[in-house]
This record gives sequence, C-alpha cells and structure tokens, in this order.
Amino acid sequence: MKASLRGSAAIVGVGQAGMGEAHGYTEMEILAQAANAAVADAGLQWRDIDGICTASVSSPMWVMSVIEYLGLKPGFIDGTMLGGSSFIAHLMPAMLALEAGLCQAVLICYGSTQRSAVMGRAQINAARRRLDPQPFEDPYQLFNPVSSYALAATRHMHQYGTTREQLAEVAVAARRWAQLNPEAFMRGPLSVDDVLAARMVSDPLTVRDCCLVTDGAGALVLVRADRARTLPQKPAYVLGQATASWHRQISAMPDLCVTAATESGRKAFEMAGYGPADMDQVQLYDAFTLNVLLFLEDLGFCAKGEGGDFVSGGGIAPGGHTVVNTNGGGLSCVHPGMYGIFLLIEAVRQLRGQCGARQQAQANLAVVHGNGGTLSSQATAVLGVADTL
Amino acid sequence: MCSSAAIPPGAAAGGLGASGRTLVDDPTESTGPAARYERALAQGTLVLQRCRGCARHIFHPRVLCPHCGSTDLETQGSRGLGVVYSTTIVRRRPEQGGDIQVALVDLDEGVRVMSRVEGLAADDVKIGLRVQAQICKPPHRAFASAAEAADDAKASKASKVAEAAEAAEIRPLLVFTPFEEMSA
Repeated sequence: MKASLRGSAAIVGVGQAGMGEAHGYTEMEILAQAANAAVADAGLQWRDIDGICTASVSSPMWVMSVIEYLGLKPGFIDGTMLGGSSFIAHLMPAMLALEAGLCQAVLICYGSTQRSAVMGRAQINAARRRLDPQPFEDPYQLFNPVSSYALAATRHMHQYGTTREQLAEVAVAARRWAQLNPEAFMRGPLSVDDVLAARMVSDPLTVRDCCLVTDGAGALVLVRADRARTLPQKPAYVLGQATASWHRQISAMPDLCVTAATESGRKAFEMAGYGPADMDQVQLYDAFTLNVLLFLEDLGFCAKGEGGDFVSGGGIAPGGHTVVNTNGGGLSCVHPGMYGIFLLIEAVRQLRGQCGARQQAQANLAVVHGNGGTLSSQATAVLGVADTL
Repeated sequence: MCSSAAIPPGAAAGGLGASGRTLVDDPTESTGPAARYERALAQGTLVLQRCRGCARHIFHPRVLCPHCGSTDLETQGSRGLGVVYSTTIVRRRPEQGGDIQVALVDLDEGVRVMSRVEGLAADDVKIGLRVQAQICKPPHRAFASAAEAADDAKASKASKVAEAAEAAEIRPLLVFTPFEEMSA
C-alpha cells in the first residue's frame, strides 16, 4: 500500500496570515485568510475544496466551526488533534482519502491568536486543567509544556554530557536564519551568552530556549499527483509520511532521551526510499532548543547523545554543515501554539525556490518533522520535487 | 512544606505501603483502580498494581495492563523507595508561590511517578538521588497555589475557584524525601 502512496499526492498551494501579531482579528479570521491565500496559490477556486483537516488548542469541535465559516461541504473530514504535529500527521489520512477518491482537494489549516487574544495562554491552560486533567501530574504544579521538556533536557545533559551552551547554539542558529527572513518575528542579535543569561523558566531552559508565543495562521492544499502537474505551482510531492505516539504525559515516557521520532522517521524514510544523508533541508519542530538535538538524533542525522556536538560551532546556522529550520523556526520566526503547518510551508517554499535571502541553492528533498504534546506525538514527512519521484 | 504522614518505626523495612496483604483487583468492585489508589493514599498507604499476566508493575492505576493487555491485576503495598530519574525547578515569582521543584522518580518496582523531593534545597536534588515516599495529608498547597488561583480568577468565577481549590485540597499527595539508610 505504502509503495503506491509514495508521491501519490502533492502540496500545490500554501498561505500564511496574521504572522506575529494579528490585533483586531480572531483566530478564525486569520485562518480563513491563510486558507484563502493557499487556495489562490494553488490556482484553485473555493468550490474545488472538498476535504478539510484542522485542529485547535482549545476547541474540541473546531473542524466543524471551520467547515461552517468557510462554507464547505467536504467529503473528507479529519479533526485529529495530536498537538503541534497534527498538520503533518494529517497528510497521511488526506493522501488515503485522495487515493480512495473521497475527495479531490484537501485543505489543511490552522490559526491562533494566542498572543493578542483576550483569552491567552494562561487562561487556556487553566481551563484545560479542568476539562482535561492529568491527575498524576497536575498536583506538582509543573509549568507545562516547558517543565516537561526541561525534565528531558536535564536527563539528556546527565546522560550524554550535553551542555547548556550546546542547547543555546540551537537558539542562536534559529535567530541567524530568522535574520534572513523578513516574516520572522524576532530578528535582533542573539548570542549564546544572551541565551544563558536570559530568565530561567524551568531549569535548565531559559526563556530563549523556549519557542515564541505569537499569533499566526497557515494553510496548504493537497491534491493527487496527476492533478498537481496541471496546476501553476511546482508540486511538492509527499514521498513519505508516518506518525507515532507512545505516551501523553512526560511521566509516562519510557526514556526521556528517545522519542517516537525513531519510529515515525524510520517509516517515513523507508516509504520515501531516501535517508537522512539525502536531505537538502531539515525542518524540525523546535518548541524548545532540546527538541532539535533529540530529533537530529532520532531521525538519524547523528548518533544518540551526539546532538550537542552536531549543533556546536554553528553547525545548523546559515553556512553550517546541515540546513535546519531556514525560516527561523518556532524559536525566532513564529509559534502560535501549534507550529507544524509552518514547517511544511517553509519546506514547500524552499522546494519551489521562493525563500529569498535564505533560499538554498539545492533544496529538492526535505524532511519535515513535527512534535506534539510533551514529546508525545511525532510526525515525519519527506517532501520532494518531481525529479525525486 | 506539607505535613507528612507518620511512618511507624521500622516501616521502611516492610515498606510504606506494606500491609501484609495483596489484594486481587476485583472488576465487580464499585470503584475503579484510580479511586482505590486515591483511597489507599488517603489512608497513608502507597499501593501499586502488578500484572499477574506479565509480572510487571503498573503506574498509573488501570483496569488492564498496558504491557500485555491482561486484566488479571493485583494491588500491593509499595516500599516507596526509588531514585530520582530527572528534575527541574519551576521558576516563579514569590507572589506566584515561589520556585517549586518537580522530579520524576523511578520506584524500585520499575514504575515512574511524577513528584517532588522535599527536605533538600531544590538545587541539591540531583539525578540518582535515593528517595523515600511520604504521603502528604491535606491540607497541602498543591494545586491551590496563588498562581493557580490568579490564573483561574481571570478565567472563571471566584466561587468556581474556591470549589476547585477545595476539591484539590482534600486529595493526599505523594512526595519524596532523601532516603537515609540509618533510619531504615
């Protein structure tokens, strides 16, 4: 089955809206703006959209609200909520639906105004503790999600000698990429010392080890490969995709240094017929600096425990040995609660050659990796241009 | 600091939760395993489930074994001895309740629990530290911190906050202190 799915669908349209701060707009409004931009970018009309995938941090029935707002009557609906990785995970059911003929064009979309909205992150977290309690963790008052990742960082440092300076290198590299991206939210200078001296949030992670809290919306359109070739944009074919989840709460994660990306990455690369060494660009969900180390290790770019050395000396900054998070990532570009859709959009733009000052000369193969919850869900996709099929 | 449940002298040899009894989980019981765990904790006893299908311990309490799917589970008292697997300090302003330490503890039975280590400066809680379970009887400060109350006050009515705080207050809380061999 997977062999036939490889390259069977392509991302043909992408759009963003409300990036950074979207004062005066609701999250649904910026979602619709991003979706509208993606449909136009694909060279399609709204009447062509007959499949929908979306998820929300706060609304359990979000997909129906989106259907209503956009006036859709979709033949395929997926509201699976896996945290920030959701939109990368949505690719597989969307491909299956396209292949089965349930629909002809799937819109995958997300929007959040968690920076500017009246009901911000603190209120959403408080409400969540009521609606979705974690009775074996909540009483200890950890500041989630940061503290869960902090526990993993403490363990990685203990087990592999990873240093705070090495974690800081990830934030500095992201900032240097962001300086090449006019859409990025934070573009000022940032040094390793700045990261280390920033306010400690949950040891060993400072506020600069943590992703931004911004507004933003992103959307993309997925169609079958045969149709993709008839549309105006250079198609970004989905060569491989897999999703894995082994736990929800950090206290239930068997080994805090090994994520389910080991499984999703292996399966996605296997389906694509490519490996880490073949990738021209690597887009990793950097909710926290530690994540980049974990995913470089778990996806096979370096051995377990060697992530710190891998990123040292500007290894993943512009001009480094590996092209990672070219938009500036969740750390410096945009992070509206869930970031996965923006990883896909950046990879597609690189594949098309639309990235301006940060454009890579060769960007034909991309691995896109999303994370959700507290290292709880892992979704990997391999995207490529026509020559890579 | 919360007040700890009194542990009788010599209890560490038998264990915090050792009652001399092993209860076989009865699916016809009127309450589920989560409520039974809470009830035991309220009585000053830490209990863990053990699967009779694969002989592994389970945490958090469940109606079936997540390792093998068996529903043939038994509940046993735990000695409450373990080792710190990881640790962090949540940094908070004094008006938010001040810094608080959070740990993951691997119990000797092979299960991991979230908790905190008391009786040491937060900075001195290190991976590998040998620790012993204590059960905080209410009232304790967990879940009803000033920060939480402030958060909630913005989002909800004051009466709801009081109600939730009250519900949280009556729950006993599992914490740990450094284990001292001499006291055993």
